[in-house]
Amino acid sequence: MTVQARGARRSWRLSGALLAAALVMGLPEASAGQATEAMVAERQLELRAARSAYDAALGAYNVVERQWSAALGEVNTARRSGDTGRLERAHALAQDRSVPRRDQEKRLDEAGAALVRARQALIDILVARLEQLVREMDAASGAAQRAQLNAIFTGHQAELQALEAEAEETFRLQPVVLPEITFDPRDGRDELLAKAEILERSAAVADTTIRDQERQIQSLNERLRTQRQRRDFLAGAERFDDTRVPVVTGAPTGDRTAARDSTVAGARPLSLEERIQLKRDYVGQLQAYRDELLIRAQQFRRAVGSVT
Amino acid sequence: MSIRLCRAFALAVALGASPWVATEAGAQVRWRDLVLTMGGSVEGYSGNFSAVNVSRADSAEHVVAVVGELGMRGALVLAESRTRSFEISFDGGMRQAAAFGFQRQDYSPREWVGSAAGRYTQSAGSWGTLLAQAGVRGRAVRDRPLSTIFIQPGYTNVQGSVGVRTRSFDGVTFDAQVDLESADYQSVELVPQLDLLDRTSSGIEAGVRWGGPSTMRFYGGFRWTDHGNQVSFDPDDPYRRDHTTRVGMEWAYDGEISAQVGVDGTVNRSNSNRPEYDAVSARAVLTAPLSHEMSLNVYALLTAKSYVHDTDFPRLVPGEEADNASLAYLQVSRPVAVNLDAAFRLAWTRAETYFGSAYYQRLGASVQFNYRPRGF
Repeated sequence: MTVQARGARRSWRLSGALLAAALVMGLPEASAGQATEAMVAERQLELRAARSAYDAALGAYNVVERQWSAALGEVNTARRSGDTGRLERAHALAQDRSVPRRDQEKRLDEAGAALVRARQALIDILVARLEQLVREMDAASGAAQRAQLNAIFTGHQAELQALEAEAEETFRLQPVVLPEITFDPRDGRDELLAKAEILERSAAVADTTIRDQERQIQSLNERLRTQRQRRDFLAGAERFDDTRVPVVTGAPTGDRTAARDSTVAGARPLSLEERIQLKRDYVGQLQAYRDELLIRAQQFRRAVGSVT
Repeated sequence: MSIRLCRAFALAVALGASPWVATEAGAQVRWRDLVLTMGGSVEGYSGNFSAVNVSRADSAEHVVAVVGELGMRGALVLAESRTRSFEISFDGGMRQAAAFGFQRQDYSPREWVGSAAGRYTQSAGSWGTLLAQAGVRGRAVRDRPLSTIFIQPGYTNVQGSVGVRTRSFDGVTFDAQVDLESADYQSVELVPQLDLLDRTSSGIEAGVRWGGPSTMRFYGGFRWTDHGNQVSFDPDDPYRRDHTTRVGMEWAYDGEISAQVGVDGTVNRSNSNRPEYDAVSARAVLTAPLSHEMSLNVYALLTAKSYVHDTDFPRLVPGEEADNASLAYLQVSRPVAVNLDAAFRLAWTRAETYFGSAYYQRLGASVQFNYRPRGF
């Protein structure tokens, strides 16, 4: 976690504590409402800043990603040309460009985590503010004031719904879309070859993504295996009451951590099994996408032979 | 399997199925897990522990048992949507032991266990989740041995609870629940005192939790328990009634390593002086991946209590005869074939009473195989 993120988190906790103190001390509803509105505005700014930081990180990542993809494309071209020296230089370039790509990927991950925290903080304060607004509307002196409060309520409610919808899409995969490269009757030999190379380069990038996804699936599978072995261990130890000792009657009830294994309705996090399945589906799409790219590249290369 | 156990299972299914009746058609049904278990162990027992629910004592200080077991457990999701879910889970098994070394006669205790539970969750707008749970657990023991080997007697336990868990408010979630429980122990002709363990109880509990991969939860609760077959020695209020306060905390970490550590304190007060005590319990569970696809699992539990009132007589509170107990399990697991895991486990348990230095101890080594059919 970055120093900035830690600072922001402290600020949210401090704000939450101040709000709670204000409510406990029984400040007039209007004053408490103003204080909460100020915190909503503050957290909106923080979310905006987190979004900007994320967009900047994403932009930087896309730049180095494209450079790295180009380097991979050069590796493929060099391999086909049979020029050993060129291949070595291409490998070195790809290696060099993988370092900034990794750095930017890390930065993107951190910015994503900060964005999630800022969004959650705003959701929390909006929920508190909506509660306050309901009480303020009940206590409103006239229809005009109630209408004014209702307008604020509607605005905050819409913002809350949008944020919640956004939060549910946290686990997103990149869409698989074929590049817009088509055969043009005016294409000459060089244009056709260039288009074939673009398609092959895209296929190489897809291959890298597939390998990356497969590594992630493997890692998730390892976690799933460990989690299952833990569940088997606890079930085996407790099945025949061997862990019940005759000292006190019963055991603590309630919301134990073990209940995480269970499915919970609402905005529940995806289980490991579901995440693995999603990624497998994604890999399937990527493989079909890569194969399609390679088929189209071959078509372009075959067309080169027919160009006079 | 005993008729009582079958009835208990049927009741569990009925209890669990009731919310499902109200679920819309077309909801997707899927298995969440299904595991078949087979295992064997060698166990050594020692001690002279006296329990109210064991009819006689054997003078043998040490006995050995060879044990085989079969088990199956699973979870079936009957309905799952963005706002609600309904799941039935079950667990059952049979364990057969051949115990040697008793002075009077050797024993072949056989245990049947079965449990089923239905769990329904429903989101309450953007505020949190409502949870309802009902379950039954049954246990039957044939040829239960004398107390050098201490194994729990047979019983049927039915319980239900409803609760709420809020969404995160600035990183903090709150939970609360109420529950009801009934335990009926199966007395047999030679051991009528098993009826002393029968109880009904109700409780409330509230908790607060915060954190991400590392979470902390504090909780507190209150429980009322009626032991309808135990006397209180108070003519105006003749049967034992306890009220128990429990507070505790639990820290959990869920990452590459998974760990839970919990401590809770219990203050038990009653209309009878005898079973009034204060107790403390600490529990730790750790799972860590090792090389070669292996994992290490550790479970440890320490419990001790102190009675409020002194007495010159041996104090045997039914079901709570020990003054302290320690338990440690250590297991190494790894896959040995597709969908098949093998586990080697060492287990140690010791319980003691201060009066007369009575104790029982169990030390065992076992091998277990857990098989998940293809698709799980």
